[in-house]
Amino acid sequence: MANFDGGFSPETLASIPRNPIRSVSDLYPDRTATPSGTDFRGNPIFPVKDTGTVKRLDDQVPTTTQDMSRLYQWELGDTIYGDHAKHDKAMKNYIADITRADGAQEGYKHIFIDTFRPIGPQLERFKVKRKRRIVQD
Amino acid sequence: MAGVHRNQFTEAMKKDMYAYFWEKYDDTPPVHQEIFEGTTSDAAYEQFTSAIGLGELLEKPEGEDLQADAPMESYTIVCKNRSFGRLVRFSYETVQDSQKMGNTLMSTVATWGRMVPITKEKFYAKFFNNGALAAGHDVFNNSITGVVTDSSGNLIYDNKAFFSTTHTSRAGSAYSNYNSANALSHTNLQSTWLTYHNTNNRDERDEIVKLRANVLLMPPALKFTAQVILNTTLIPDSMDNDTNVLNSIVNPLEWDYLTDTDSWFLGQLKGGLMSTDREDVMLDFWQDETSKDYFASIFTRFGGCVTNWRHWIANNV
Repeated sequence: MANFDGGFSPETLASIPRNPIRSVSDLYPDRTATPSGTDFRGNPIFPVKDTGTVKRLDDQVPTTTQDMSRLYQWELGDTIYGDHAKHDKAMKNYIADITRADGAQEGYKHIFIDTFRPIGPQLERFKVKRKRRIVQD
Repeated sequence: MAGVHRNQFTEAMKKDMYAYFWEKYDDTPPVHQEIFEGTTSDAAYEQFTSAIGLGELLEKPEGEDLQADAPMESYTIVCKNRSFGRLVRFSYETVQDSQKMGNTLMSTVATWGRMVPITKEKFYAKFFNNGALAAGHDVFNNSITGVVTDSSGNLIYDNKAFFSTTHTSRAGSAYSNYNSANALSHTNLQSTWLTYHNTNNRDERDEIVKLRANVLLMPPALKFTAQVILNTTLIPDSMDNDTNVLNSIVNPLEWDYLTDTDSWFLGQLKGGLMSTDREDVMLDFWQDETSKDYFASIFTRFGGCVTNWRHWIANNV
């Protein structure tokens, strides 16, 4: 991630706080700053915050690594690097869909469908046209 | 290169995951597939305008000009595809120390195989469970931030709740497809049937259209009440010998995911409700470079929207 800044949109970059990591607690923002005790090895235990009001499962607790692979924080214009992005077909399709749909809402205005009849077959006709247009582009 | 490369390991695991997943996938057809008209989608969202057309023809007196008519613009309907997924993390040590990694993965993925149909049922049941909320519900909001705007927000295309007493046609007439207090009984089903076929059978121009209800959707708690009404040849709970005119008039359909135990819905299967299927279930298994932990994920995309409220009437919600 040496060229970390290069792949993000200005909006995303602006929203990322540029705080340097000074201590362990900065790495785990969802943990309390002061340890509640020590484990059997003598290491301090930092409990998860907000457990009293919000129940979170283990796989939902954000960690540094998980933050990087979070699925829904991707924004239009961002480039994703890494093994996961290259191989994850679902993510690729998702990104392609959003990119293609950006600014296309105006074009849908003139699709008229009779909602008293089955809609699928009527939509199919427009999908064929839409695909042709993409090929032409 | 000697030995098993990490990439081969994750790819092999991914193949196994699909086998475990489909083995445990529930084969029973879910109820939402009968209620919603399933369509495939190849984009982030589907958008269209409900056709309204022109009015009826007018008789032209001899020697006079034809009278002009203008098409009316109807409501715009947006149906976005939503993303559903889950992630599970296996620590590097667990994977390396486990002699039976397949077992651990199998138990995880098998659970997903069972949960995907349930996730869909719960999502589509929200249309009925939350359809009468005057403020609407997120299930009706088809906006994608920065990409597509659903101007009706948490409500359906006409800016009303799905089940509302104040639906307005484009021509200006008011209609209702909601009775907040109307317990399932012989009399109430009869009056609702008449509202459906006699009052609500109008298009956006207030012209008569052909609407035919064919299903009584209800929670399991109403099963026996419905059977008494629909399956007897004579009117139930009556001393008279009158014919039960509601005998087999519609098919009862139970849905376990309806949360209100006394609400019932008269409607048409695959009418007025559309479900989109964008991407089938995708499973993934990979190793994170910074922690060396392994992750398994599931991801699928589908959506749904109301295309015409006239096909359904809600009661006692």
